[in-house]
Amino acid sequence: MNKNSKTRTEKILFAMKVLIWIFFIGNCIKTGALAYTFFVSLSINPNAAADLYLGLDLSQLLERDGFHYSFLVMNLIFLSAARAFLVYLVLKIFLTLNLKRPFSIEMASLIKRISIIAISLGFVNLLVRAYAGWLLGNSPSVGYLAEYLYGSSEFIFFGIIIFIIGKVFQYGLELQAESELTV
Amino acid sequence: MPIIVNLDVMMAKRKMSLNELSERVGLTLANLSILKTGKAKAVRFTTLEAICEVLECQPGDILEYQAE
Repeated sequence: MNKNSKTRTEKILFAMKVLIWIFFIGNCIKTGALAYTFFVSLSINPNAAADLYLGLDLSQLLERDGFHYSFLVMNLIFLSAARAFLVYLVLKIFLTLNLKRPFSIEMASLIKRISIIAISLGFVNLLVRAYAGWLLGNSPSVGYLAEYLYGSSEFIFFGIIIFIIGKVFQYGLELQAESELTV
Repeated sequence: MPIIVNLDVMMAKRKMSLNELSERVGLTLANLSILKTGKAKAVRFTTLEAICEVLECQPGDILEYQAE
């Protein structure tokens, strides 16, 4: 790799790292805010359910059925936390990446974990979306929820692609080990 | 592995140390060590050529096949 392309790669990696940090912090804030307002709506003031996070109004559901309300919001919190964890794993890739020796067991295991979590997240997202649809029917809350239950098929697709890249990476790891033992 | 590396035998015959061989062949001590201890998975023809040239021997003097 020549010096110019190396500097360019480093700049791109730095920009991506900054973006991923922003995504990670954003997801953490979202998860924390959801968890906090959920706790407030259940224990202090039920009116908090009218604006759980950025206009998410599930007050009608809370009035109708506390169990389903709790289950749905807990699922939303779980999905948001899982998304934050996924972004954290991607961030970890950037933090452990060594361009001189890119193939490592740690990196391969990170890629594998990301793919498994992304695929699982996609399926859980699908289930929660179906559950929310069944629960809320044509209520306007479904519109608010769309923002929280986006991209299930995208996550599954992303997970499969990452899984394949992980397999190629595994092969790269073997090649690197062989290359290191070639004199 | 059934391929035995007899580098140490040839070095002893030529009374050459690993340091000297490393300098004359242009290989790092770590790589020569990998080769000497039989941990290497592959040997480049260029490396083999350089070793044979310095030790004045044939590839067969360095590498040997022994059935397991």
